[in-house]
Amino acid sequence: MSRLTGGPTMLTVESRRLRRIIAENPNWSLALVPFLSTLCLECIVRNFEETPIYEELTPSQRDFVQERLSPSLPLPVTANLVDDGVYWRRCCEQRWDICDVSHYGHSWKRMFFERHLENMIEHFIPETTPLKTVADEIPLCEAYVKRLDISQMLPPIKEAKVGIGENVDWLSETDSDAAHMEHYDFRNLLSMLRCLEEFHLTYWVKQCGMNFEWKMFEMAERDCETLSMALECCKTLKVVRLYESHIDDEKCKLLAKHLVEHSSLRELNLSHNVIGDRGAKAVGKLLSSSKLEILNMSDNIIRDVGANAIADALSNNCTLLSLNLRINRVSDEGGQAISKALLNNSILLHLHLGANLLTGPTAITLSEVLAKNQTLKTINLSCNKLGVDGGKALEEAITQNSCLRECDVRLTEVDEQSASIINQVVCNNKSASVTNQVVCTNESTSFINPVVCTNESLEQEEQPLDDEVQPQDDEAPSEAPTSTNST
Amino acid sequence: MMEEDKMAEEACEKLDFSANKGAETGASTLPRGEEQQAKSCSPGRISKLERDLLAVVTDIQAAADAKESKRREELEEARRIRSELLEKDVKSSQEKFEEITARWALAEQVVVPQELQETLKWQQLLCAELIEDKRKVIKDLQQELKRADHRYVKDLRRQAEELDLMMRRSEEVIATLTQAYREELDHIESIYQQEHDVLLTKDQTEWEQSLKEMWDQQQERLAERKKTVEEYEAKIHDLMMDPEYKYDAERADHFADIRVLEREHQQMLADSMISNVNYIKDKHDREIYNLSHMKSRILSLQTELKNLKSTCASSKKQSEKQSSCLSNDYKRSIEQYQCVQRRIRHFAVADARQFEETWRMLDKEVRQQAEKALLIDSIIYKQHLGLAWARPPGASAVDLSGPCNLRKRAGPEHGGAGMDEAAAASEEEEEVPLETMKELMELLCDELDFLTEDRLQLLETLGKKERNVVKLEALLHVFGMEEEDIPKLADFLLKYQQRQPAEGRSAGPVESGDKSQESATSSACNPNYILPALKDFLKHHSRFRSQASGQPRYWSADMWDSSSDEAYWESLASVITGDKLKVWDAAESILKKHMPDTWSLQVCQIFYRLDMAEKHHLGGIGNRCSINVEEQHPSWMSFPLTLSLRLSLYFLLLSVSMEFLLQFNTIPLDQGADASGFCPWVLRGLSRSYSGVNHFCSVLYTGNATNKM
Repeated sequence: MSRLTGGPTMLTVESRRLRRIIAENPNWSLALVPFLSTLCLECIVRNFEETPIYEELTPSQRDFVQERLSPSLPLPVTANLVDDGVYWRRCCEQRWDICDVSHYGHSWKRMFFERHLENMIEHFIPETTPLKTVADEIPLCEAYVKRLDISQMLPPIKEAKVGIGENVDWLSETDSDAAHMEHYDFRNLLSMLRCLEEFHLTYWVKQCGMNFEWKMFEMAERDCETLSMALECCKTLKVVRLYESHIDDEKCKLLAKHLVEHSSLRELNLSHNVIGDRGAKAVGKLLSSSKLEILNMSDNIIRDVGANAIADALSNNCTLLSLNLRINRVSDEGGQAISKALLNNSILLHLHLGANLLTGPTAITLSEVLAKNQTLKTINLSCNKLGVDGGKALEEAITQNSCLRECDVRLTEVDEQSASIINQVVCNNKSASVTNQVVCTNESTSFINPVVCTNESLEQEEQPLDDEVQPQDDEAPSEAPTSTNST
Repeated sequence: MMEEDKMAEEACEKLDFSANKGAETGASTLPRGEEQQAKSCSPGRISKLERDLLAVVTDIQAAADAKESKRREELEEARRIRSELLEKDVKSSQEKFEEITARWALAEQVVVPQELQETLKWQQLLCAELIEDKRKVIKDLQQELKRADHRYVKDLRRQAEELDLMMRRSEEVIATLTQAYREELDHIESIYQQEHDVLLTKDQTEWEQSLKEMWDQQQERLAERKKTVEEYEAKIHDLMMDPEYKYDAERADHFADIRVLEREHQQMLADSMISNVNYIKDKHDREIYNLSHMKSRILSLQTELKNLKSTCASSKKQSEKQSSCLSNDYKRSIEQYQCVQRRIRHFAVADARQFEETWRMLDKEVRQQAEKALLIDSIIYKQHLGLAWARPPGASAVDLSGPCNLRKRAGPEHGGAGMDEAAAASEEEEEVPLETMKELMELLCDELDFLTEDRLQLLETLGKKERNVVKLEALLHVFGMEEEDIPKLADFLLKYQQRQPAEGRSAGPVESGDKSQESATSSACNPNYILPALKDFLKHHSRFRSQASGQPRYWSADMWDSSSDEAYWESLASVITGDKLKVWDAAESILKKHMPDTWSLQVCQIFYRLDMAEKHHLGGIGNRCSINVEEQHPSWMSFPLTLSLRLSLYFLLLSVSMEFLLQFNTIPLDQGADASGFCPWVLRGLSRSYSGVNHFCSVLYTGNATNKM
């Protein structure tokens, strides 16, 4: 303590033995003198680039160093040396304003490297930016990147074309430049990233301004080839999202062909593309052979043929949990096919058929299915012209179903009464399940794999819930008015 | 197409609006309705609210979806119409083009310029028409494009609006939801608060109730306790009071009884008194009678008294005369006594001398006898048996020891000449019985009060015994005597007392001593003799004291070595040993055959008896034995050697008795309390031995006398 009080006041008996320190500066105090260890650490921080010493430090010293290291240090020095902590937080906060670390598994380092890599790719200009810039970063990032969400792919610069004129016919231009619209080749990158699980990609150009070209928002054929090969190479991938990239049937077929063999893929999102029936057929093939759990084909132009193909796959597939065919051109034929496929399927939980061309017959066949199927949780039929009869059929079917939690029949020209009844039933089912879940969690029972549960719940028809097997659950269906009527 | 578009738009807008409106109304009305329902079912309300609000937002999306699908439909429709139109256009233009081409062939055939011009014009017209058509188509398409652009812009705007709306609604939803959640929270809180309050109040009421119950119970118990306490108090009081009352009653009864008894008693007393009085009266009467009788007797007695007085005076005179006569007698008897004493002293000296002479003579005789015996022995040995005779060792001792003993014994015998009677008396102290001693002491104390009077005034309070003890001590102190002297004093007193009455008598000291011994034990002392006796004793005592230390006594043990004496005699007696006796016997028997002589037999007998006597004496009954010898065998007195033998025998006995005496004397007399008890025994023993000695002496005298005669 005397060390801290220090200075002229240090005149205690004890201090006589020590060397007396009399400062000329009255404001001088020993407290101002930093610890030698602090000085050392500061020295380490200063010379970190030349002689990075980090592993040898104690946790508290590491914290000290992390607090003081410059965020502008070259990544090759810090990337594999400084572990996740304050330093990477400081790096992130320096580079980006909005940093939601919860989105990155609460890892600042992961966030930094993912965003860093995304940034690198999004600003990669083919043929101008050297490939090395990205390739150099790969060994630094490979251990930390789990997800890549690339929202922009810059095309190569066309200086000559820009200079020619603005009133050039865009149709002729697209044909001539098709070969040149190649983007970044992902093959090298994806094969290097060891723990990549999610890959979101859209061929899109942000803030293109007056340089707008349709080609900018398209995936070139060459791109598709390289990308599909890259996806095939990356064995850790679980989620693939390729949206708003103008994927047509051919590209879709190519992708599906390469993804068929992929063992770990669980989710495929090809929404907002221009996939037609042939692409849908390819996806159907993919469905029947892969272990996809979630398939999103919303906002495409799939018609009955494609829908039939998907329905065939659905009737054989035993892994798909969610199918989204929102905003497609599926009409009654496809709708009925999908409905019938559900008769044989006891896995699918979520089905979205909103904004299609479905009408009454589909509703009737679907109602027949719904009366029997006890696995489907949510079904969305909004924006289809189901008509009053279809609505009534659905109403009758749903009153017998105790499993359905959501049934969207908005803007389907269904009678308001039946719509309200459907809503009520669904609501009751949901609340019952919620209370059951609450009861279940209160009783702290283990959460069993839904897939297994659905099988069991089919066998026990009195059992309305797919995710809990509980003898006490009998109370829950009794609360629902429909449970007594069900078979 | 435009109309359709508009229619579609309108429918969409309507839908949107309605949805919007519905949502808005729902959103606006919900909270109000919610508030009403709030208390009924909050979880359901919240979920419903969530769902409805979500629907409000998703409605837009659904509407957008619907619009999109509709747009696609419309686009497809438009495309179809366009393509049809284009096909139609293509067809018509194809026809026209064919017509134009046909006309060109026709025109080739036409040679006439006018016709040609006409056809050319026609062709031109047709081409123009075609171009016009194309232009029209292009214009239409361009218009369509423009419209599409217009619509695209509109769509964009609308979509922007929708987005805005969606955002707004989302915000609203968030706001309402937060509000709802807040309300919910408040509600839950209020419910919890209520529950808490209810529970609290319930608990409190319970608590209060239980408290009250407890309080009541306590009160009840207290009351009960009080009651019981009171009961017990009453009981205690009763119990306390009851005995008191009973006691009072009993006391009263007792009092009454006592009074009755007292009355009775008084009555009885009165009765008895009356009877007594009567009795006394009778008695009195009788006594009065007796008195008169007595008076007459007194008179007669008085006359008798006078007579007696006269006789008394006469007898007094007589007694005075007698006393003077008696005092003269006394003086005379004292003189006599002194004379007797002198005589005794003289006799004693003479006796001693005689004893010595006798002893020497005896010794000589014995020696001679021994020598004779030895001679006889030698003769027997030498002549009769023909053996060599050696003088035995005992014989040589006889020669040596004899004069030595004599010289030794001569010392004391010379000193003992000047011994008086008192010393002799003190020597031969007798055993005084304890009672007598006590009596004597008491007497001494009573009589000699005057010596200690000034000191012993304070002793009046003490008991008689203690007083006497203290007095005795004081007296002894005054006399300058020790406690050891008390027996002496007592003895002296007794002796004195006995001597006084015996004064008149002229009997020898031996007889008087015997008698006094008997009288002393039986009768008490005469107080009159105490004072002179004490005076005498003190005189004697002082003298005796001075004497005791200085002069040797007459019969002192040191002077008389009885053992050596005995040994001496023994040695003399055993000059002829048993073996020799046997030899002798054998010789005698042989001789007897030659010369039967009764005399020698008698000598042998005497020797034998002498041995026997010695043995008896050692057993402590020497005197009786000697008497027996004397009584049973008076015949041996006449034997020529009688005197010497007798003397030897007597001295032997005398020595034994003296030994006895000395033994007793050696017993320490300073043992205090035992002295009084022991002394009489000693005295008695002494007297006995003394008497024994006297007896022997008398026998000796008689023997002497007989010898002389």
